[in-house]
Amino acid sequence: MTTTEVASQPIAPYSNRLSWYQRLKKTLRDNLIWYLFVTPAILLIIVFMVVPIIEALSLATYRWNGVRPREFIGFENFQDLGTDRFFLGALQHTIFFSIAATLGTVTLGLLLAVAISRRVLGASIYRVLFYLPVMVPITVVGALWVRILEPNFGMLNTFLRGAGLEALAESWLGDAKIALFVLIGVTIWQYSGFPMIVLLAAAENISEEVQEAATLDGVSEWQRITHITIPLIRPVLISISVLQVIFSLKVFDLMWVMTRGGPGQSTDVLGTFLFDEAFFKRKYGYASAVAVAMFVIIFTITYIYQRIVRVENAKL
Amino acid sequence: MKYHAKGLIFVLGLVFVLLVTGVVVAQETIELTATAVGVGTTSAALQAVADQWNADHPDIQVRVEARPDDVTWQAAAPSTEFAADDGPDLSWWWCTRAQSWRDMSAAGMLAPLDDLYESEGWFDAFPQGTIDYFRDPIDGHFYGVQVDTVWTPIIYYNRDIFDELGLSEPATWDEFFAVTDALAEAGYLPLSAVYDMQLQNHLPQALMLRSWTQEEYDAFTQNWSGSADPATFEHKWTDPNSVRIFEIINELGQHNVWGDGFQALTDYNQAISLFSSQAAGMYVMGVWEAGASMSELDFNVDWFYYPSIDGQEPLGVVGSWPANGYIVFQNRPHVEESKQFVAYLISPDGMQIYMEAGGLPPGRSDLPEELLNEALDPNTTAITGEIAELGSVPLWEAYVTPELFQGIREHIDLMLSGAETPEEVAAAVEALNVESRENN
Repeated sequence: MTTTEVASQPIAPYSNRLSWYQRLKKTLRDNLIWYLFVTPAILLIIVFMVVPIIEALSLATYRWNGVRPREFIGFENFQDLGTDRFFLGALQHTIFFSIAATLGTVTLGLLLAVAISRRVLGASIYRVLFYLPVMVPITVVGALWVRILEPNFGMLNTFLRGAGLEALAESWLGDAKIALFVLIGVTIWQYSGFPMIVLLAAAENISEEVQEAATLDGVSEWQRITHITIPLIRPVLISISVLQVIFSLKVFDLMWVMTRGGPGQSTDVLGTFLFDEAFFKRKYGYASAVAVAMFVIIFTITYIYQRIVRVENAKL
Repeated sequence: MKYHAKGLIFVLGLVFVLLVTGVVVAQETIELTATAVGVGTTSAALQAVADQWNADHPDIQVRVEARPDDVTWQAAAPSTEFAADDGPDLSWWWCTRAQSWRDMSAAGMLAPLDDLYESEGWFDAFPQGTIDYFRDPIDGHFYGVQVDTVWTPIIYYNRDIFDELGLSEPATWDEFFAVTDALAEAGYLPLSAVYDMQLQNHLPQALMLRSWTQEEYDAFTQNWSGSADPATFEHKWTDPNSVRIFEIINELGQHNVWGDGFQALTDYNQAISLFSSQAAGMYVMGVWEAGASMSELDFNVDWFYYPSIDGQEPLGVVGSWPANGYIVFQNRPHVEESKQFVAYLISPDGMQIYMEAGGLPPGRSDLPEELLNEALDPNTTAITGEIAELGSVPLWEAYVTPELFQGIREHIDLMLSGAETPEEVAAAVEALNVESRENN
């Protein structure tokens, strides 16, 4: 070969000429400082998340009451879940609650955000007022509403009776047909402020020129919301909705404080069901199987969320 | 020479003093840790006893640690802090199967207290029923000792309201419904009851004492276990005397005895506040409310017990909760010292301090009446005397597994919501009972 022929041969990149071990060494050497920065966080995640998840998955294959030796039963707990009417009921309630509470909180939050962004009278007060319930601990909210909703002497029914609306006075938390809806209502009341703040920030980022152009074109407020505001804040809207669903799937404290999953198991959700199985029935293996089921559901939704965010970012 | 002798004596004396001081200093102070639930007066009562013990025993000091609540703590503690080598030396505990007491003793976690039962005369101090309860059915040892006893359910009523409406204590269920109707008619909530504790738990057990025969009661406290006498398996939850329990509960619900939305009343404080604010004419709870709660009210309070069924003599007017007790852990460095403290706790002197601080009647039945009158409030003393005459029987829940206990509660909840009939509840509980035999 001539020098020219040798020189014209393509030269493989330096890294391709290294073995995998050498490549690994090079990567570590070049990025060591960054790996050191993330190591503590990774260790914490491994110790407090990965290990417990593995342990829960393992425990789900045992029958164990907390003291006696564990008895390996394979996937029997998972099989039992499939035929346990109480688990299936709790799953149904959880999914319904998640969807309904998310729809309610995000819709109300969006309307509030739009109203505040349009600078309605008292907007600055509303911004604080509607966010206040978010800051109150859930157990306090639950205890408060239990007393308001007490059917015989609670504030709500006393007001309704006093206003001549006795027909509307219900056993709000004592009627299996409506208790879950009442809890959804309490959740919407408490948490609408959070999507409101997030969507407000997104709405206020919409360019003023766009708004002015829309005004010049003579759009109505409804057209402004549906054709300008919502499309432009869509990525944030989707993110907050998915996060709200994930949050709602894990609900426990509100149900426990207000109804203990009753009446008649009508407000029993996966969180309360798991708590009952573990700490009242001492069925730790079975409770772990429930926890694994919850993890799978939430992980699936989180994965879908990540994919959606990736698609939305790609569009931008 | 004289000075040398004096000097020698001085030095010898100094050495002697130093030696004695060294021995005293070298004696180790043993510190014991005792845990107790912080809700209510239990940890305060234990602390009061520990304070006196510590004053009298500088070489063995007891440190009391209160725990947050009685349910979730007792669910987790056996497999966590009790199982740890550095866990507490002794603890207050609900000595029931549902709280893993039998499992802990089977696992060798608990120290037998047989020697204390002998040396402290506990075989004569406690009723025979209590002795039988605490004797382990497998090995015959005693892995705990009762400290106080409580009875439930007791129906407290507002005597002023009763007088105003011309009502008297009902002796039959018909009279009971007449009282609740009259209260509802007058605008009162007839009976304030914590849903999960009373209606799902204590009420069915009170009805067990009224509906079952002694033979049935003995059978149902055992036949959840596969190793029970097979003759007990003949008694089923679908038998008429058992179905009747659920029928009566259902009837009470349909009669609106507990007012509208009673299933939502799960808050203990809310339930008692309905009574204390005179919104409710009656309030059902255990003897632990007889003291501080009832004596602080600004109206006259009295009490009665659920009526018998069809004139049948009940096994007991109330159920007793025999399980409040103390346990000592085996795998600890100072087991004997822990036992010494428990012996003091259960002694008449210890129990006087405990009762004064805790307000509950003692488990031992040999304490002089003057001591009880001095330590307990008048209501609790009166109820103690009444129940001693009328009789009580250990609650069914003290014997059974947590799964069976929770299962019956779940199905009663479904029945009161209209999702199941009494017969369906009975069938479901029988199925749980059979399943329990396979697993225990």
